[in-house]
Amino acid sequence: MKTQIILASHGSLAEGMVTAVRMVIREAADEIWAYGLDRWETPQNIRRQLELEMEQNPRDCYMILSDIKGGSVANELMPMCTRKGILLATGMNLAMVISAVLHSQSGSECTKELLEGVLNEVREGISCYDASDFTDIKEKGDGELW
Amino acid sequence: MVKFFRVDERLLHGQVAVTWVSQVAPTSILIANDEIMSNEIAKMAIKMVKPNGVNLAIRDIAGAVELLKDPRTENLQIFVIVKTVQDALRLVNQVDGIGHINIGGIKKKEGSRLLGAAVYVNDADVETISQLAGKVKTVEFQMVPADKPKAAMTLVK
Repeated sequence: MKTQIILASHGSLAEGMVTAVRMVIREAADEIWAYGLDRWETPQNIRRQLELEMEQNPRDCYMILSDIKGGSVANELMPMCTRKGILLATGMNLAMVISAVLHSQSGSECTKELLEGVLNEVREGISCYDASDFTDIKEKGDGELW
Repeated sequence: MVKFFRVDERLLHGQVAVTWVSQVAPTSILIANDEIMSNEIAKMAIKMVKPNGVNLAIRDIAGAVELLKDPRTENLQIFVIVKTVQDALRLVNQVDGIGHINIGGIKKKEGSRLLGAAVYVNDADVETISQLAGKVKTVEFQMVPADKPKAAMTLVK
């Protein structure tokens, strides 16, 4: 069973995301499928296209990463999750896509637990900084290996 | 012990952090570079983006040698990153147990030619790579884990 990574978004975020992912993981990005509304016009079109592809490869597992929770794209695709082997995440970002691709290519089983693990990893990477962080970290010196 | 040794002119950056660090799974990362020691902002930026659950030390080359010779490092899995092949050679000459050198990126400079993605070498680099190849088991060009590693000596000839 192959894991297919599908990106779905408003505008051309999904297609642009693939180019950004490729900068980091190169050819490993070749097997991501991107569906943005600029090109597909309506969320229904994206859903229809995905359904066609799923019919052709019914044994594959599909990890759909969509841009915004409650957005029309995610809402349209959400009911697809009622089928076995289809997972959907919202809040797609670069780290999420890279992590999902690397995990699925390293042979991890395509499960909701895997996707939740990816999301937890990604949440840790969402941070904000200002000058105070620089002062704090400067006081900690050059670090130790142990 | 040194688990993985990488030459990358950008030191610890996104590509290294997300691909190599998850592949190598080190306990510690050692950034060895003389110039960075006087650049507080650059050091702090590296420290702030350090991957979770991994210890990070930044040292000049002499400090890195001292750390790697410390018996306390024996049980650690250390990911060493240097900026240039010259720095790699300085470490290899002073520290035992480095078996493999991974070359990711070498900066473009006067008289250099492009050998592969983001790897530019001039004559001095080729000489240094030859010396490295004589001292460690493998010296390979490999940008990301998904790329096929290429033996450095077959490419620089």
